[in-house]
Amino acid sequence: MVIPTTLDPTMASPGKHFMSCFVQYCPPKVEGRDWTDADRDAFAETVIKQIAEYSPGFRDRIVHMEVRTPREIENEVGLTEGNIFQGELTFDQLLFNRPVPGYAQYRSPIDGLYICGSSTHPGGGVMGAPGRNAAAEILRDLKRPNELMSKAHDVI
Amino acid sequence: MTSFDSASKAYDAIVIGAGHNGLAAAAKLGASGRKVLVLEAANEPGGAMRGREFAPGFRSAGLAHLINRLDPDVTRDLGIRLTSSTAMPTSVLDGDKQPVVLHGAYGDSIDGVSADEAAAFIRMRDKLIFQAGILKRFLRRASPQLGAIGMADLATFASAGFGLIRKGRGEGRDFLRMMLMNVADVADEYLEHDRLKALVAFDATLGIHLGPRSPTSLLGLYYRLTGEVAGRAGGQFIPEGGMSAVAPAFIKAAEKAGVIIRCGTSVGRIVADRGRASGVILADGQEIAAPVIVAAVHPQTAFLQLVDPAESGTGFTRSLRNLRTAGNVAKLDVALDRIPSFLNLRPSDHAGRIVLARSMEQVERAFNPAKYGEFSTDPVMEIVLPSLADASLAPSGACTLSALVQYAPHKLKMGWEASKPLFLKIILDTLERHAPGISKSIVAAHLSTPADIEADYNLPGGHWHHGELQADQLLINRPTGAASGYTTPIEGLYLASAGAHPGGGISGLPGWNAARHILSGARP
Repeated sequence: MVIPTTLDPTMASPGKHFMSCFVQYCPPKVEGRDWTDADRDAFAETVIKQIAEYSPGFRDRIVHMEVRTPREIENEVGLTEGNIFQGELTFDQLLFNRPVPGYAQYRSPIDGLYICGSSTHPGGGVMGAPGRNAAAEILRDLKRPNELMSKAHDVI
Repeated sequence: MTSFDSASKAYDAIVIGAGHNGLAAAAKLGASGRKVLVLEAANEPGGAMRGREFAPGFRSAGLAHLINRLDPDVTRDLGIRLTSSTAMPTSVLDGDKQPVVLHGAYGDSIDGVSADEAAAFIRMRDKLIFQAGILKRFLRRASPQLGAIGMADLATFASAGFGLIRKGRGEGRDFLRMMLMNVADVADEYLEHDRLKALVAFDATLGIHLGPRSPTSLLGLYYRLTGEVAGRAGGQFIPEGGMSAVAPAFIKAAEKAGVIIRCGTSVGRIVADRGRASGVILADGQEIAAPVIVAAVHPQTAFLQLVDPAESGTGFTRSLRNLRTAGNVAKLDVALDRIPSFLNLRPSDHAGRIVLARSMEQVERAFNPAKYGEFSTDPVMEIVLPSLADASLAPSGACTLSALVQYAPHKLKMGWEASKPLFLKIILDTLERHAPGISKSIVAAHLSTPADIEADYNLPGGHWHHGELQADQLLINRPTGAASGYTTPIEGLYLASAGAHPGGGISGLPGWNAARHILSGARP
């Protein structure tokens, strides 16, 4: 749970706040079937109820609320099954296994087509490293020098 | 102390514990010409394979009810002959549909599933056996020591690497992808059939505090598949004469090598001074000296009970206290007035291994309560009818049934004393569902929870592997880094039980490896 407006008040009208929550666990399917709007609303209610236990009166302060289950995340930003890391960060999908063995070098089975999402090494989170690493590999294939590449951090 | 003087010249090595690993170590040391004394606290040797009469006229042959990983190098070297002429199939029952029966070594042929599904299972099995074979190279020798990797270690690594690439890049990639996966994801990749999935999930987690979906649970299945029977990985058997014949075979090997076994002799303390072990003091106060002491007991017993912590060091003592060794399995022995009949199971398959597990999900759900100190209310289990292989276990016409029931956590929230009757009832109800009418033929039922196993066999936590078989307690970490090469922080004191590399089950390897390691050094 974070309240970014405590750092950047311009995100909301004066006196108002914005709060964002990541909630565990929320599988891409509910008992084997797709999420429905009713499921989503019920889950939201569970979450609000729990927050209200820690913060009395919380419910009455809500002006507007948006809930994104893996279904919404997949629909809105195209993340398969709503996985924010584009694939589990378990050993069988890390390092030389990311995203799959044999294609962990940002190259794909198709010449000239490269991959550089969170699904590639070193994985998800806002770090820019997969993109930067992929760019270095592309430069290598083009036989171009890469010493002028910026640090991922500077770009972001 | 004249007895001390005479004794000090008498023995080259003292082995504490006459379980099969202690006996294997003693036999190997004895065969090299050393004078070896084995001290056993119980009134007879055999360790966890010590049998007992659990009801008038009915005997149990100990904790293990079949063999699946007795090492051929160990038996050849020690002259142990344990064979069986009869095949031992595995039947997986869900109490409703036709059983799934695997014949041969882990399913050479499978009844009860489609030809496609059987082929898929064999594809998965062969892949896992190949991968287990890579790991197997590390089992027959001491695990590599960090900071002191020797030529022989490098040779093992090289041969493992070569073995991997010999089959092509794809196999190498698959191994590096799969080795730390959970068994459920692997089963889902290959299989459709509920009970085949249930079987691999059960086999991967039996005796280990993991559910099929817990990370690294595939290691348990690898471990099983590193075992072989008659040259075939994944096989299983009960020897001629039943499991009661196993301990005597090890005892005979030790005695043939000139080993002296003293039972009913409890060791009170291992004598160690300034980091050097020199003998033992028995519970009755008698002192016996020897330059080599081999502890073939649970590592916590050896180092937290028998050795002065000041000698082994606080860091070492702490790491042993943190050893994860809480048992997960209960052992049930049932006396029956006749041979039971499991639903739809052919009479000949009753002599095999019977697994009661409907689905992988059932195994996973059975594990859930164990995480919170509760037993499974819908447990999964492996059943054998021991008296079919060894008629002496039951009166004529009667039968014994042995079951390993999962999950039964050592530390039960409600306490085992209060909960045992309910757990037993749940298990017997499960049996009745799968073998209708069996309840009426029960003469007696004896359930050993991990708490009972702890007390009966002096196994801390009641864990038959002497500690979890998980990545953090294997190889260079078994039982803990400082004691992973059979040597310990105390010079002259060696560890040779299932708590040492390569771990539990009836393989004989920890004891045999430890003895070979001792013999490779200069004779003290």
